[in-house]
Amino acid sequence: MRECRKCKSSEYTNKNLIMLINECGHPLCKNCVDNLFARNAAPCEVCGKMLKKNNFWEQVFDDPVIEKENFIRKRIRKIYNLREADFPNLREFNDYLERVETIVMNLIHEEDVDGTEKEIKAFQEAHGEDIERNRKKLGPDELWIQQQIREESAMKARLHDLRSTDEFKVHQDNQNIKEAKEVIKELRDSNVAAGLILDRERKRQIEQELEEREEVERRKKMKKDRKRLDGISFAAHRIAGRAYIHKPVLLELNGPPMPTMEEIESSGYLQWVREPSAHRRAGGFTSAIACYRALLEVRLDLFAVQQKKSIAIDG
Amino acid sequence: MVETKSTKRYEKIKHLGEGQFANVYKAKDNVTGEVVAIKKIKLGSRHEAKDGINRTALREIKLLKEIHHENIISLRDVIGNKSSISLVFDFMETDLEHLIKDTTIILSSPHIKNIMMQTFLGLNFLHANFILHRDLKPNNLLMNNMGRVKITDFGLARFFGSPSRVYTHQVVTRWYRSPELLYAAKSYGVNVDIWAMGCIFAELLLRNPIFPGESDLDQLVKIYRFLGTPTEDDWALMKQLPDYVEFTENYPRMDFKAVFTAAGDSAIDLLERMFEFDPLKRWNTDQCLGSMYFQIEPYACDDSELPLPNKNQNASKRRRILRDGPESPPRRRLVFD
Repeated sequence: MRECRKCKSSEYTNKNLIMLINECGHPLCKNCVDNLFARNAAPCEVCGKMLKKNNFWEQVFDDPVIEKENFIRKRIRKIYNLREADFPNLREFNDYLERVETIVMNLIHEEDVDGTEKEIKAFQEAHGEDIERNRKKLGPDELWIQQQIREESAMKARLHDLRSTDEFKVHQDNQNIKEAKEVIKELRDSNVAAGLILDRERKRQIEQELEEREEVERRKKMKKDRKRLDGISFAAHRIAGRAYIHKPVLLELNGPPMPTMEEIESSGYLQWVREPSAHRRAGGFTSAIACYRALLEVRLDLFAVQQKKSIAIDG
Repeated sequence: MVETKSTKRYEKIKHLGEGQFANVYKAKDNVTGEVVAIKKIKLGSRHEAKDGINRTALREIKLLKEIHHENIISLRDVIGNKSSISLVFDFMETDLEHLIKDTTIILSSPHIKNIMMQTFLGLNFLHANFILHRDLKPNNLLMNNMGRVKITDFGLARFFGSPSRVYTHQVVTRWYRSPELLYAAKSYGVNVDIWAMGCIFAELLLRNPIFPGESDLDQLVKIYRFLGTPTEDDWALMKQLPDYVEFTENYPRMDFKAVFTAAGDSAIDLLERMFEFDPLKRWNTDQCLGSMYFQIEPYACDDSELPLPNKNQNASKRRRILRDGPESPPRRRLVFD
């Protein structure tokens, strides 16, 4: 029989008794938790460990130690989540599993808690990357389950396909029989030469086949194109598979044409610009660049027409 | 813009990672049904936020609003909140760092050519618009599942070419920093990005960072051990730089062909031009894109042929990590002596 050690209420005295338990493994009834932890955090009545109200969970197993073990295992499992593939051989993997068991037992029975916590922390720091990766990735067991599900759905799809193609085939056969009957009827009734009718029929069949094949091709191509279009953007340059001849980018000036860099240097633009000091030129700064930029900025949008001017004046 | 309340429009799927300035989430756009990446900027200290908004975020928004190019990440939306600001980007599968580090992937020369090509086209567009990226590294080159490479992280980017502005030299992750930055140059141009591109190119070929310096000085030593100590002929003005230090040891230049065994002559030529000590001699993006490397066989492959890193890394690699601990990734150190 469950009994709260604080208020001594049991399932006998309180029909709706709910036992809660926290990480230290000392259960309390819900009423006591509500009272004691009204301010959220308080020390455990038994061991004095600081507990939070939010962290209590309902006790399922009668033995509180098992609850505690579950909690600790859940926690350890998040950190020690390496897989066999992470180890060079089975032996090291087994050693690792053994070590995990030892850590869990240490924590449950509170032996060398500080040392164990330190070890866990060290492990977490050392293998942070692996832990993070394994956390996101499915293990072999989960993969197996997923594969089973996939296979099942694939089988269902295959069955469905099979059934529908059967139906399609029956329909097709019927169609063919009907057409054949019509041809025979025509041969019997009409006055046209038999060879002509058969020729015409053959031609029709060939055309139909070709059409079907084309349709399949077209659909394939469409699918491929769509796949491509989904990915690419409007490429400025398609450069694959051939020589690339570079043309300098031309900015939209909307102004008088720019002199080239050589013209700036040779035709006297620079005599109006202060010669940069030696240490500036050593860093790769030239007055020609500054001059070029200034000339460019002067020209940019010089010819732009101001629109709606008249409206502005009117208003 | 679709008239939907921005906060409701995007649905978080998962947390992708955390950087210095932001948290990045994978999310779904409920209007278009596309998957996007949301960069939620951290508020930061009071000092950082004294302008009202984090400066890197401001730079990023300012620049990305203006530029649209295939090989540059596009800013889809900006969501402002009372206490935070979020930027909505295209969702990209991976970055080049992962690609380089994944030892199961073989990067063939067409692959590398394609990656360099795409990155150069993006960078060329930036430079043509007078924007310096200033933080190019494999980590900041993203790739989507169609093999499109896009430049991202414009937190350090800014306009260049103003004659009177002084720039900080504390930019670019150290391994990709050029010698003039290491000598504390206060004004520079596109050359710093080109140097970083050279490091990325070399890293793609070697599958290891080429100059993994441990301090700023060590960085210079690593560079000089490889490229030789620069002379006045190589770099006439280097003594003018603020933090110039004379190297007593004269390292010889290493033979590029011996180091990059798999690379062709044109690739090595391009690399040498990108690793010019003198920033004035270093090639710009137009010159690089016009190089023979992009004009001869083997030609670049199609974007869709680029390999993607394997998400489920194979067991052998995992085993190795477990034994050596995650701190020491299986990385071959380059010894240049």
